[in-house]
Amino acid sequence: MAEPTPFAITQLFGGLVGRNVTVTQVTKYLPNKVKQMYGTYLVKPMDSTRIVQADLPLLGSLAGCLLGLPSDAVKERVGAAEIEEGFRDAIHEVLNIASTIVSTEYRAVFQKMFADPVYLPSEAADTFKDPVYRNYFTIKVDGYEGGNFNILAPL
Amino acid sequence: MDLLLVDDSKTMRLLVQRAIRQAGYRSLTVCEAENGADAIEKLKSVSPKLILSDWNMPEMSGIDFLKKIRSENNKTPFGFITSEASKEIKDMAMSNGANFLITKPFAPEDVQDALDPILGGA
Repeated sequence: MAEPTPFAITQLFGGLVGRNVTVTQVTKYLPNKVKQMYGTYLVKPMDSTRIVQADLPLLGSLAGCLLGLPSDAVKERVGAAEIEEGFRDAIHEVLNIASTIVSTEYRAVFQKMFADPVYLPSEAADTFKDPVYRNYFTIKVDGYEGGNFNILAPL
Repeated sequence: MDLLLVDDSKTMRLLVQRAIRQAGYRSLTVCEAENGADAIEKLKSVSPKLILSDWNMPEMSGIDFLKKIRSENNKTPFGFITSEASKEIKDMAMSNGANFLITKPFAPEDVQDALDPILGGA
């Protein structure tokens, strides 16, 4: 699998939100004690499933920038018991646009967003439980909360 | 009505309209649709100068929507705004009658470069 690069992720998210975005690849995943979101992607032509696992505060920051929300408003929405529909739609769009960096050599089509891995479809659940390829990144968004962004792939 | 904007994401419809305004098209009138099937319904009552559509949408994808309207001899200029960036997708879009394809994320300049030849500048 061709590795997604910090540069490509910086270009993508920086271009998306119009802010400085700093991406660092790390060798070990150190989970933050925050809510996670999961995006599933169908990679063509193999029809294999890749997953993005990301900290909700990070995705919320990117989504908030898209919507023009200040950092405090993003934190409020991220911390809410239930994610407000418009904000959820923006997070969904962030994960959709991330399809271009989920696979650098094949076409990845965003499928669905999940708040709990329990609900992942079987093939995605297999990838999540036992990924062959793991790419771990930490992402900082200027003026907003950052977090972990992981790409998990099968063989 | 100048523009039919087709995207299942409300956020993206908002962002596209913001970029269009930033590109100088402040008085453009816009009709929104949530997918290809919804857009076909809208086209029964509106005649836009341009259609901008996402590619991946539930119910009817952007490419199926384009194929459908071209098969009905609708020649309205058509552009995709999509996260699909591969050559295969671009070739498929153009061979089915699309005028341009803008890749997400996009800048207002990208929108302006695509719209100017069709709408004649802001």
